[in-house]
Amino acid sequence: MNSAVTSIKLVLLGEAAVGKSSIVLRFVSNDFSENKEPTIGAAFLTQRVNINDNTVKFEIWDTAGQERFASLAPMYYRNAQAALIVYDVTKPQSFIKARHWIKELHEQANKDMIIALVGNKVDVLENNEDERKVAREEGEKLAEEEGLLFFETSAKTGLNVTETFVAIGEKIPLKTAGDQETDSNGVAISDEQRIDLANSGNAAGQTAGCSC
Amino acid sequence: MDTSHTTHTSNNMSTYIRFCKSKVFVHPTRNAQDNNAGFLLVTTETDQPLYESKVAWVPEATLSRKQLAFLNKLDLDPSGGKTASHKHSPEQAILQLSSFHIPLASLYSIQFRNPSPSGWWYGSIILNSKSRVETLPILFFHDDVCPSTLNKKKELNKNFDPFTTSGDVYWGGMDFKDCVSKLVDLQKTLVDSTVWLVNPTLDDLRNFSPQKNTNAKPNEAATATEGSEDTGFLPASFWSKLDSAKWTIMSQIAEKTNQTGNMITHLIKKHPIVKFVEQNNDNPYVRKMLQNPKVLEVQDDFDSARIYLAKWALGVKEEADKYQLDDSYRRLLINELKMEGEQDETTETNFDLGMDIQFSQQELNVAIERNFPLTRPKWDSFFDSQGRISITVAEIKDFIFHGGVDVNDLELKREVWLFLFNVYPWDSSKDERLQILESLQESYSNLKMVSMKASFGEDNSEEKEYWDDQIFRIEKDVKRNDRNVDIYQYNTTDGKQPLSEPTEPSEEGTDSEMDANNEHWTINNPHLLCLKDILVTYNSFNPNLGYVQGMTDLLSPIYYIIRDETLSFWCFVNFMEVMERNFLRDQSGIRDQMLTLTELCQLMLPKLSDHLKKCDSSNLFFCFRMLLVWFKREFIFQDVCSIWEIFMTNFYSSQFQLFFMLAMLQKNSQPIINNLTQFDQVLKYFNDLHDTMNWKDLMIRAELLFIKFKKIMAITERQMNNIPTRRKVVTSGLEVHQENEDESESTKQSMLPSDSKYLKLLLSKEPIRQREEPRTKHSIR
Repeated sequence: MNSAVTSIKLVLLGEAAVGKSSIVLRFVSNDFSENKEPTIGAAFLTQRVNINDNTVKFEIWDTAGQERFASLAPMYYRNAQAALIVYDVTKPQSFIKARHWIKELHEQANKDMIIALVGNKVDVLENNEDERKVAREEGEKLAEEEGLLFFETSAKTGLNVTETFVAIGEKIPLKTAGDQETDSNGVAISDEQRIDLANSGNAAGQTAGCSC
Repeated sequence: MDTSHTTHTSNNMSTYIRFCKSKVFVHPTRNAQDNNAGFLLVTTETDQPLYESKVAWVPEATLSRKQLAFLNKLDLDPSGGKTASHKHSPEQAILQLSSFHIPLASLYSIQFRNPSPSGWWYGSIILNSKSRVETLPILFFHDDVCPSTLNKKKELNKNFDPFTTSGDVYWGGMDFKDCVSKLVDLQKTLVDSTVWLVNPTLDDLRNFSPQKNTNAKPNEAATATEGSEDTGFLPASFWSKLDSAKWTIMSQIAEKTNQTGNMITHLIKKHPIVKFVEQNNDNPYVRKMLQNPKVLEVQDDFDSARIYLAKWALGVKEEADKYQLDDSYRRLLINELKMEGEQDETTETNFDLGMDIQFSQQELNVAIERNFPLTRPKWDSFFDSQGRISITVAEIKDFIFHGGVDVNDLELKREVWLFLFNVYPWDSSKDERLQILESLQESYSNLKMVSMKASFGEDNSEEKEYWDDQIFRIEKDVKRNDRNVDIYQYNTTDGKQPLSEPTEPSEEGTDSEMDANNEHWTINNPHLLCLKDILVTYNSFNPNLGYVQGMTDLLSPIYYIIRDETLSFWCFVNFMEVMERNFLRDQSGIRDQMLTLTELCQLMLPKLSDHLKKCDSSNLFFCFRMLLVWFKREFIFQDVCSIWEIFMTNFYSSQFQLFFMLAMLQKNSQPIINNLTQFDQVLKYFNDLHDTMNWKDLMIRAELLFIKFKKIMAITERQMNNIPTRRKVVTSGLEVHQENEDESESTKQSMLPSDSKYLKLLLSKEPIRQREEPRTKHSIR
């Protein structure tokens, strides 16, 4: 692929077991696995999507949810241009946790960061609306107050998953081939500059064009 | 015929003859007329473990007719008379007539010398006792007159297969070998394939370790010898070694001459050294050595003292090892593990090493040789009759560290892990272990009950919410833990694959059906239930720490090996004693390890360290997951078990995982330096290493890195003691380091590695225990 590719670094945050990894798996592989192993530290995945004739490459950091590891999160969200804060619509505790994350990102992270609030597991409600413990309106209201995108998703059925990422992609200023040399952090890397570790012998030449 | 295998003595002891071979001869003189026929026996006392079995030789001439008939029958039919038990059993009486009757375990080695195919000489065995005094006659198997051997030969010929399963030509001695190998740990030496060691120590095995390269690459070895002088290539030390061995052997021969008359003259015609040389005759090194007159001279002195072949082989091996310049792996390791700064004069190391650190051949050999796993016969040979380990713990740990526990023997791993994870003390007897087991079972069931009460207990809102939350977390994580591992895979009540087609809707089944109600499905798999119960119990057993994500990863291999809820729980508890520091709320334990690793990396891999600094990665944050769950996510399940059991030995250091991590950094340093420039790239690189590395290679590197580290520490320690003023500067440096991390970098320039509290601690084998603070309602979950 020769056209310019915009890379977006995105981080997923949220309480343990709300389905962060499952959302990423759905987005990246259009797959679902009930027994996805708990994430430790973080997992890294990428996915490309075409948005308005442009290719956007998401570089996704999927973090561990348990509060005990929350102190590590800044390592992952620093330099990130986007974040998904995920909660489980059947677990009110996870919504409280989402509020904490929003606060932390507003205080600590990149000011231009695009944040989406995501209520996951709506598939559980299909048969039984009683399972819902966080009203849709509650989520909408919080998102509006904080200036976030808002989606209710199901990683299991795929509902709204790609839509969430596309919406984020649309809000991030795209780069043209001309301004490939990107911000000071050098977050964006074009295809040509991609590191190729399997072929490390030749890779020195490939990284020569790097911005730093 | 009223004979039986067993003899009952007054104290109810009975001896059982498990092996009997007739027409086994002693040749006391050159003259065939002097040959003595006899029976070779292996006996076991019925209430003694198998490995206490004994070997005996009884001359025919001393036996009564009845006894002779009894043994002849046994020779032909080893199971004959087994069931019959009789007062007048002849075993004891027969054994009293034996020329020798000694425990198999008191043998050092057995040499099996095949008969000549053309019938020129008989097959024979030489039993070498560990004791220097005891000398046993060489036993010749007269296959042509031995009924059982003839029968078996006939049998084999009928099947057109003169070979036994091992591929060797059958002769009488093979039956003896088969029998003995079932009773003790009998291992063929690769230096001389006729010599088998009995219950060898790891050092024995190393001494007889194969000259893989010598045999595998004769051509390369040939190239290497070119140009070396006939006499010049063997160092003086080798000759002195040989000389001293010769002296010892001469005295040995004198001893033997006194004891056994002219037996000596009938010792092996074909000399062991000659044999050894023949087997390696494609090796020019060996060929040249043979031509040396000194070797020829010593050879003559060697006749008879077979046991010294071991020592001699050690000398040869050591010399030959030095000769293995063509060993590419060895060379690669030596090159790669050199001090990075050594070749590069522009790189300033943080301290004045003033020496170059090299590995001795022995250090390299020990690290590289990983072919002697702890096997069942070996493990059994460690125990005495009371089930107490009779060798040092260090020796056992040496085995485990350098060869691991046989990966194919799950039952053995289970036994060993119970010691490794401190459930059973290394010095416990069998009875004591039974008592421990009982009390552990009782206390576990109490703890489990308490934890159930705690979780269902009082309605006290916040506390109850906490417990409920924890149990939810545990269940959720257990359901998604290692579900690709066989025992955890299927959610069936027996844990096995359901027989019915998965299309049939049922509560039990594969992934696709159990999500009927998303994550609220019920666990049926008994192994998953055990994991859950253990973690719930631990959650209340150690309430300050509680359950933290990652613990399932730590428990799952333990349970897989131990396969018992109670014992797995206690293994896990002891494991968590070591691992608790990884899970502290303030992350101080893992941070300490990262700081240690940072210093270690600066010291050992300065170039990589500099590069990581440029990548904004000098905090080594990317090692977090690997350190947290001991590389559980980086290697396949079985390999994780092998790696952990090595760490658990604390053989070199209680924090050996940091050297393993260092080895991983070292191994990957070229790709990193050449390709990675940013924090995220480094993080990503280390995040995706699953199943890409050979753990054994890393373990070898880790060991060598440790050895090198230890040498550096020793040398700088000495340097420090020579400069008394330096200590002051350095001490304040450490304080600064603790208070102000920004300045520590510059202060460290004047710091010797032996001053770092982190680095010093790496030399300790004592596990570091850091406990969690008491939990309050404000504590992070």
